[in-house]
Amino acid sequence: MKKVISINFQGQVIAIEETAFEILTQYVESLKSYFSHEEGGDEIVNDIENRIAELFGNRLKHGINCITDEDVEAIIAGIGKPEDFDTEYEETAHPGTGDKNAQQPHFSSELPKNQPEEEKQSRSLRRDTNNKMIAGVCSGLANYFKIDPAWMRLIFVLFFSVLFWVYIVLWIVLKAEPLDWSGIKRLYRNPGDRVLGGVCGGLAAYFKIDSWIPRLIFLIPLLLNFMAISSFPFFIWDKFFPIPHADWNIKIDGGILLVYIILWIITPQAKTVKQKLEMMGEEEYIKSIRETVSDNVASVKNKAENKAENKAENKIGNKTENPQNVDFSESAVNSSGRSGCVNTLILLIKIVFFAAAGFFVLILAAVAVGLLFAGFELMPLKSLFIDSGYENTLLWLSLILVLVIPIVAIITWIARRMMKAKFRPLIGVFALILWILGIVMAGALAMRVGEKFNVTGFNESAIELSPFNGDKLYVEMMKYPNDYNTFKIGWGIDDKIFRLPYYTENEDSLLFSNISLKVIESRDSLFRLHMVAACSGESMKLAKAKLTDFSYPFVQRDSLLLLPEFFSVPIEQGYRNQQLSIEIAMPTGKTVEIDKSFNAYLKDVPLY
Amino acid sequence: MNIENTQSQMRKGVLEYCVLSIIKRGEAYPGDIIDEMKNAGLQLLEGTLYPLLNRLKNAGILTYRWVESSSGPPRKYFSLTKKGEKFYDLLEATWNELAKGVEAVTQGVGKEEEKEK
Repeated sequence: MKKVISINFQGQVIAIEETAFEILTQYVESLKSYFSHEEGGDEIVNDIENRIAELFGNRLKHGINCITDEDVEAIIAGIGKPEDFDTEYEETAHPGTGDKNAQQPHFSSELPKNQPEEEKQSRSLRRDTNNKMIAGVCSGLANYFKIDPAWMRLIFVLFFSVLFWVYIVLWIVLKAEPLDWSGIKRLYRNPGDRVLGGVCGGLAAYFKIDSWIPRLIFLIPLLLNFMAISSFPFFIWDKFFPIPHADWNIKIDGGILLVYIILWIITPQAKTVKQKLEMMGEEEYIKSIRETVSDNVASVKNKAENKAENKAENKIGNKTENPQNVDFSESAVNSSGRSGCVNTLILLIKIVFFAAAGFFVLILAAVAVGLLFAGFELMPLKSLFIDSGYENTLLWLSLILVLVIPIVAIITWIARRMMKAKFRPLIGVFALILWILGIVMAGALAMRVGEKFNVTGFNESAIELSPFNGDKLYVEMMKYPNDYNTFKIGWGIDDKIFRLPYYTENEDSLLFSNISLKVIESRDSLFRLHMVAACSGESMKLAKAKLTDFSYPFVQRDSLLLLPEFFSVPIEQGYRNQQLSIEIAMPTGKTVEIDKSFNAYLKDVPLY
Repeated sequence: MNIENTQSQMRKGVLEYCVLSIIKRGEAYPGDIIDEMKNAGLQLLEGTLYPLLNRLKNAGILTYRWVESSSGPPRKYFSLTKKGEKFYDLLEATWNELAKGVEAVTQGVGKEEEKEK
């Protein structure tokens, strides 16, 4: 009894015994390799498969349900096995039955030839054809000194201007030869341990160090430069951290980056097992294979047992397993010395993108930090809007969440990426939630502050001035006698825009210069002062309450009216867009002369 | 001395000529060619035929077209090109010369023996 499988062969569905299918597959593979170096070999194999399909069809037509081993073998016998083919190429390529004799003397004559050649190699300098990138000059030199060609290439690129002519001369002078690289440690890029291009991973394998060490070395200039960038527009930094700034030589970090890029281009990736062996050095490689195998065996055993115990043991196993993160599965066949000039362009684009992204992130971070400090500057303003208590807490919390969380998240992501820690989306989600919470809190706070300006309350009062001799009323300004402070915002925002209040020295009152002065006609023969005070609040009741605290002590001395420079409110009120409008009602026939100092106040701004 | 080698060489020599003559008589697909050769008593493996046809096609001696078949996958039907026809004529001339010569030489040996007797 045999297992039968269904295959799609040349567009036909065919039932075939599993063993027969294996024989068939092997045969087709042997055909493929036989015809691999013939022009149109693929077509030939396809034609043969086509023929086989037809023969299968014939058999199935005659009442047989599936193809058996015997069928396949018969068909193979009919078509012939590769070694039976009579082709014109026998003399050159394949060991046909007759040619075996011819080949043997060929082999034996090769051996003595090789030895004197090898002796030659170790003595003289040659251009290497095995590992060449352009002409094999660097490769040959490296082979002579028994080092990896990457180092020679690095030197030649970095000192290009001088060594260019050296290269040309060597190209002409040296003879080319395929050189023997056995025993020489090779630098590869490690595909199993890569963040960007696997350069640091490869370096780590070559020098037998941990891969975070070369990464840190490459990143140090970038980190140092970060400080320079952030100190540039935000001189606030200097107040707190006196950094000797901006002389970080851009050449340093550019140079290191260049070295990384050069290494990326000139070192090939270790794809085949042989390359990985060369990358790590034989003993290391065998050791890591041993460890991987034994750990795999151990972990398979443990999985059959208690799961809880598994976790502990596997962790330990994982640590020793595969210390250099070498991937043992052989992938592409591309084992040439070039790292693929086609890929280089893509890599270059990748590098540019990463560099740009990196700079962008750094700038963002600097901006965020700057904002944070700006926030500090704005702190005094906060008391104008924010009452103490829960509003305060809300403000702080939302600021921290909105500004700090993204920075922390980005730094965490970079750190985890570098340590190759498992990517946990949970962290990202958590950070996002916190950040949104911060935004929400900020929004709530903004709404709360907005509420303080919900309604505007008015307080009207009309005061009769005591009659005096003469027809002219002089209005002069009473300057505020004590010292007062202004709310400062670091970059010197123009106060006029904001009309920010001042606050008294002992910080118990706010002083407002939001006063408008106007002269109107009086209904009767008396001078009057119409004053309308306005104040915003969450509710009319609150607004009115605040209005009662307004203080504007003016003085009249006969024909002189002294109006104070500011009106004041207790500091607890905060900023509520308080305004004062003064209308001087002037009887007909009389005049009013207003001092120059009131010029700023003389505006026709209507109160809402 | 390996006789199989010599025999194989002899077969190889005339193979191309035989295959082309089959195709000259009419458009043929590889299966037909194999059958005709077998009927004529000449063993030919598909594995030998396919590369040969491929080479001849690449050299412009043969051309083909696909024909859908009711019983199975589509088939390649080969036919001679103009160049192929000229090629065939040259081969035919060579073969005739060869056949006559071989006949004469082998008969001649026989004739020598007869004379001596």
